[in-house]
Amino acid sequence: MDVTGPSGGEDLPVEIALRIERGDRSAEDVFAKHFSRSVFALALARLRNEDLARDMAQEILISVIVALRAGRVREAGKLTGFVLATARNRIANHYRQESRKPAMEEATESIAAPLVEDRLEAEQRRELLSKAMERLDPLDREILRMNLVESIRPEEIGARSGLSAETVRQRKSRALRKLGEWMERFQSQKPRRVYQIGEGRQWST
Amino acid sequence: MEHMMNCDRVERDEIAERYAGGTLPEAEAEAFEEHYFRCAACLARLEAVRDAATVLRNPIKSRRYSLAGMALAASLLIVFTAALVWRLAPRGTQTAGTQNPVLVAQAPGKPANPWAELGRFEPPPYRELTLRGGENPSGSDFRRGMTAYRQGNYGQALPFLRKAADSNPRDAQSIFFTGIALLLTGDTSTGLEFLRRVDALGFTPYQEEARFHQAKAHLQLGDAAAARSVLVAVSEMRGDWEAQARELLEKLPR
Repeated sequence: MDVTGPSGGEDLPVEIALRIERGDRSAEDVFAKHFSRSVFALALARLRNEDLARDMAQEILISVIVALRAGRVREAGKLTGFVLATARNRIANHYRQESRKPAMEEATESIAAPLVEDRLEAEQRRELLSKAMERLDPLDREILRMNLVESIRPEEIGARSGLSAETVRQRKSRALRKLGEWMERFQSQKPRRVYQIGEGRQWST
Repeated sequence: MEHMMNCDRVERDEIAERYAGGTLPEAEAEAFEEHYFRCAACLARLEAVRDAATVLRNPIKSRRYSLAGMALAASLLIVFTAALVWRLAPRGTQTAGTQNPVLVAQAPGKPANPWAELGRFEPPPYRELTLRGGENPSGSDFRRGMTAYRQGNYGQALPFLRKAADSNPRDAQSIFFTGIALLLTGDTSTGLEFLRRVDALGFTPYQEEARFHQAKAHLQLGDAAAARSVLVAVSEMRGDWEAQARELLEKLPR
């Protein structure tokens, strides 16, 4: 069973959509794994509430899987656009206070496992990130703090610290890249959690 | 297209930061979403920005780094650049009278120290900081000491710096510059002790640089094995001194 699809980035081949339509549940795993991070990122950016974003991302993924099972996306290159459009519509609906129940009810029978990172995993990740942050060069950490927390532009940080704005940008990018790499390493090393989904099928993270 | 998005623009215009902070205009936000749904690197950047901001706002361990630490680290960067320029410059271009990096005088009757040249270092610069909190926490003795230090009068600086270091055993800044001044005035063994005291304070903005200069002190004392051991520790810190530490390690025997 193939559950090791790409983790974000690039378009998924349309075959995944066709496999889902044909009832191939492992293709649903690939789909969920591919889009869970980006859909959660979008939901969090739009809703600005982590718990709500987690629920919303789960709902969006379920909603798309239901649509794929019904064969509503068959064109190559349209899958990512469809996920994006679904995500935006769902979030717009949320703001319009429309009911979000139908899609959940529709899929609850066959999809019972979390498709996005749960709260415990998020806390573990944040703890690790905190440790990773301590491994950063103090100057880089301070640049990140001033820029990301205090919203100070690189030009101003440069003026305060005696560095050029370009150097500040480079150091910031390098620090973010390092954090990303360390977290990526964590993601690849953490034990895989296995969930039961539907008819005895397993889905692992 | 006005809102064309690519990785360069995401980095240059801080798109991920503004998106995560909710300040990106809607059209640009949508363009960025179209982009990161297909770009793993920009999705990773967005996640790093978002998570880093959360952790920095709510640190699990309350360890804050002040502007003083930042400015010092910036000054270290300048030292590093200066040292690199000095190292790369042809020797013939150094003007007469320019203060050379420190090289401990060879004691008469002692065999030549083969590592003395590698033990050279540029005096770390120090810049007075204007802090939001007001007074420099290291106090007036430290300031007087550093005034002399900046003028290259390390002997004059020492009594003030030592007083500042002794009055606050946890003041990494005073202890560090006392250690450096001791090295610069030829009291390498005592200087080494002060640099070890900085190290013993744990993680401070001075720890990495103190370790690096411990290695320099060991080299001045002719102990390449001890220098190697400290340099390995510096390189494992993955900080600003990593490259210099590795470069020095390559020149030392295994």
